[in-house]
Amino acid sequence: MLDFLARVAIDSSLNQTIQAAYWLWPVLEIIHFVGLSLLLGGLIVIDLRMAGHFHGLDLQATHKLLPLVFLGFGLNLVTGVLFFYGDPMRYSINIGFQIKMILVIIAGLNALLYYWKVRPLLIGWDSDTSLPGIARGVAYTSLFVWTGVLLCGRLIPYVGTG
Amino acid sequence: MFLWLESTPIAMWVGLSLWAYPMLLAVHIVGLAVVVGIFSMRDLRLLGMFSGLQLSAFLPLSRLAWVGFIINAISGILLFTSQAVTFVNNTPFLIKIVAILSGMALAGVIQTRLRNELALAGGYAEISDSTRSIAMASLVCWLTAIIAGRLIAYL
Repeated sequence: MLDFLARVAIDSSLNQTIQAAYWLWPVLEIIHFVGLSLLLGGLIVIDLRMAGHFHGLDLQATHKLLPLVFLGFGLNLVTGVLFFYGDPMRYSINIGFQIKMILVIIAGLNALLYYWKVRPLLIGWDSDTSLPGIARGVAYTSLFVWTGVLLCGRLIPYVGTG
Repeated sequence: MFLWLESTPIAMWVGLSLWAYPMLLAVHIVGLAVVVGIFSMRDLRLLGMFSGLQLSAFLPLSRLAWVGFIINAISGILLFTSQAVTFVNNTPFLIKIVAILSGMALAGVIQTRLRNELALAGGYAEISDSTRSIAMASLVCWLTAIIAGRLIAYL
């Protein structure tokens, strides 16, 4: 599939545009870094609370950070797609990128599990009782998988083809 | 001195080992997300976003940000040793260091103020205008650190 996407991207005018604007790449990178800070920063608070840490925090209140998490994800989705369009042949065959994309998909499925199974349990949850196992599982999975996304992403320039 | 630093065994290891430099960079970005992530959440909260989220929560959370900072100080120093001469002559690098030190100093100030203002009001303190200004300055510091840090590779 990445092969197909790379062929679509390489023939696009967007590919030419990104490659022609020498200043664009660092700007996209800066936005990508800000985005990942918002994404992980928000999730650290939400997930650690959901995993049972920081009891002083109101569980429901931590979910007010979610719009910021989505903002970070949105920024990184847009900049990420532009990276791919700018240099498709480099990314599509890169093992770091491939693992990173698989981890992003796992994180997405984990988020759906949260949305369908965990969130209904949390509505009206009493702060003093411990959270169900599935909530802790989803929370730790989220933190570990997103950390993996960051690690793989940073290794993209240094690893080879998959 | 920086030339000597580059010739130390640890710097040689970072520079010559196939995996040391990339692994340190990978650790460095996780630390970045923890530090900037937590401190920017705190600053945005102080600036009035997500009211309802207890300010007192950011006292223990800041300790986690400090863990991230220590991870990045160690990985950062190791990365620095391998190309010390290049880094000390790189303007974005110097700006980044100033921004980080300022951000950490402001984190200390905010921590103290939060503790005092919370002690006075119990949980839901009115944030003073001066504390808000410091939070704004802190956000600018972390944004500057990210921008300058990324530009090290380009300028």
